[in-house]
Amino acid sequence: MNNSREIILERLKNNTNETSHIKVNVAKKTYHWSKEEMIAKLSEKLQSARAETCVLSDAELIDWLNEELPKRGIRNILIGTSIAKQLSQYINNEIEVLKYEDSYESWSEKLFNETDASITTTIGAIAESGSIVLHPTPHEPRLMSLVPNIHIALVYEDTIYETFDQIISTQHWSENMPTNALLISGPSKTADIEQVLAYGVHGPKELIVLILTS
Amino acid sequence: MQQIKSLENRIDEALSNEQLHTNFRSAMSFLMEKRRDQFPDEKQLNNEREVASSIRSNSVTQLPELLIKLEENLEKNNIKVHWAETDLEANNIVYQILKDANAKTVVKGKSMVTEEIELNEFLDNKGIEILETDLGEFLVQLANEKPSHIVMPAIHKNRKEISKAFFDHFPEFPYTEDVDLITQQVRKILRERFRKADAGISGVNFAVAETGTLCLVENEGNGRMCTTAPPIHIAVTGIEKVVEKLSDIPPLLDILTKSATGQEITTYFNMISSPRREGEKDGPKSMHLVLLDNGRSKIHQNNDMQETLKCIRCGSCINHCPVYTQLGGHAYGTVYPGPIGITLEPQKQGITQLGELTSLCTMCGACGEVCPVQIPLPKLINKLRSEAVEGNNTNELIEGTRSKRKPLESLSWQVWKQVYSSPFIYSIFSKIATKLNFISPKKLGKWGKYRITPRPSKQSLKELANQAGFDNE
Repeated sequence: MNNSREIILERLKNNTNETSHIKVNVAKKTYHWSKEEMIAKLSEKLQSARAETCVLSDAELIDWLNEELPKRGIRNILIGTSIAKQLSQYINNEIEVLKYEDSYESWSEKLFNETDASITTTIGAIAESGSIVLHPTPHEPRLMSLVPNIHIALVYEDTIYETFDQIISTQHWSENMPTNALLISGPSKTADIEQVLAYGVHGPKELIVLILTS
Repeated sequence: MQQIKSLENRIDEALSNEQLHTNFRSAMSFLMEKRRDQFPDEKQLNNEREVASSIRSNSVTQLPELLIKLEENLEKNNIKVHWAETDLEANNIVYQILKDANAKTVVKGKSMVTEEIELNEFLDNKGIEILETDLGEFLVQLANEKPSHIVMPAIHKNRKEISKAFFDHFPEFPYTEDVDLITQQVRKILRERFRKADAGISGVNFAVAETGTLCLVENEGNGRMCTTAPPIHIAVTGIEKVVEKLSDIPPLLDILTKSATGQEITTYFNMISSPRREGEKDGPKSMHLVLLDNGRSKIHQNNDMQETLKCIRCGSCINHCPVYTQLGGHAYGTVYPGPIGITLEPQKQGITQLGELTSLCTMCGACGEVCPVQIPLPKLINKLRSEAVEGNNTNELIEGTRSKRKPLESLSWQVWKQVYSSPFIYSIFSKIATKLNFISPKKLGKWGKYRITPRPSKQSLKELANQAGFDNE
């Protein structure tokens, strides 16, 4: 069965060309942005992709949630098990807190059809492109940032990096790749019909990024 | 001959379709402008192209080593690797995986390589339901058509045509031409399919050898759905998509999205390195990668044409091609249209069958100028043209070299060469041509179909110059 493997590799090795490795001269981009500039850049880029952003202190988060969630008609919210402890006891009783405690298959219908919003943490953000970066875990599984209509992401100001390259190298991704790594740069969108932008085609219709200052 | 005729018919059809023209002209202008806005500084753009080009050159020149490394790391990550030499083999591999798992319904993310192997038709014939989920691909599948652009598959259709096709299939939804409403209707239909599908199929934008990671670029989220919700994920990719290191990804991603759709970054960049691990609550339970050759290793052996394999499928050459803009994607009759298509397809399927495609080029050079990985497309197209008529017919790396040689055409060029290389013969020729200009042909075949046929003037330039008092040098 693996005959094809040998045939393909044999053919590829047959090339008579000198295979000299070209040195890649990537001038590592650095902007030397201050923390404030990073927050401003990240917010600006995310907003231009129609994400909402808000800068809050840790202490203001609960108030923000209790005020904003009902305003947006959110009846229930899926919270990762790692931060649920911190948050759930403070969240307004009228909003049901859902937890992703069992495997996806056991509650997929509810996740797809009845979950209004989710809150996840991030492992950082990229100011240059306006992206939040997630490494889903058993506490915050992969579909949490995709299936609910509204995704609220928490970004700690100290984890904002200038570029994608910086976050990969500073956090040593190549030595320890997570099962799934995601860059998210706005709500789901499409321009497949007459190049007209439409939002919320398959993933979240809204992305809200809360930048938390300490 | 059949192929020539049908290509000509398709061209005539495309050229006489006003609606098609309007759709493509506006779409291409839109994409060109958006790309231009992303690259305000030409010097910086050229540096970035240089970097991206070196990364891809390294991938191509080290292809066998990188593929072995990729396989090793993917297997370590619990992703099963399959090798397919031909389209049929790839289709059978996918079918076998689905059959073994008793999978009946499949959701699919946008992937040109699965178009190339005609996976949908294959699985359909085996009784497996396969549903396109990228909005554009979904609409194209509804209309029973093929994508006309590798990045924007439904670019040939306007919203009226789309609304009609949608309503014909889903009369339960109210008819609308509102793009937001159509999008929401499709969302409703497809979410249930994602949830219930037995398997998901996707392509791959980059495969990282160092870490065993498959990267996918998208805006809609259907790619993430297909690769995360169903219990099985099968990715299919051409063998050339591998890159060496994770650090190669940021510059490639950056130039890919800017070149393709003029976006600084897409909504999602999805890097998958493993199926669901113990303790994880979602993600596919098993993952497969099918590595497809289908003619690529032959291109790799051909030093003159090897750069074809550097392509990252951004579609920028297509967006900037004046011929594509006039014809649209379907006239090419191949999976990949435009400059990259006429370079790739004759190499894969042979010049005998597809050599004519290389004539769909004005040699304007735009494709080579915009290519983010600096593939010298005009040079490669020209090389194929020359292989088609002057090539060595024992060349085993491209089928059909010299097959397009026509006796009358080659005789004319021989005569032309003789005339223009001898001043004496040339002067006789120009005398005859000017004095007997009234017998020159009124129509010059196909070339003259849309052009005014030129006639030799009564006096040659040399004669006019002499009369004006210039010395003969």
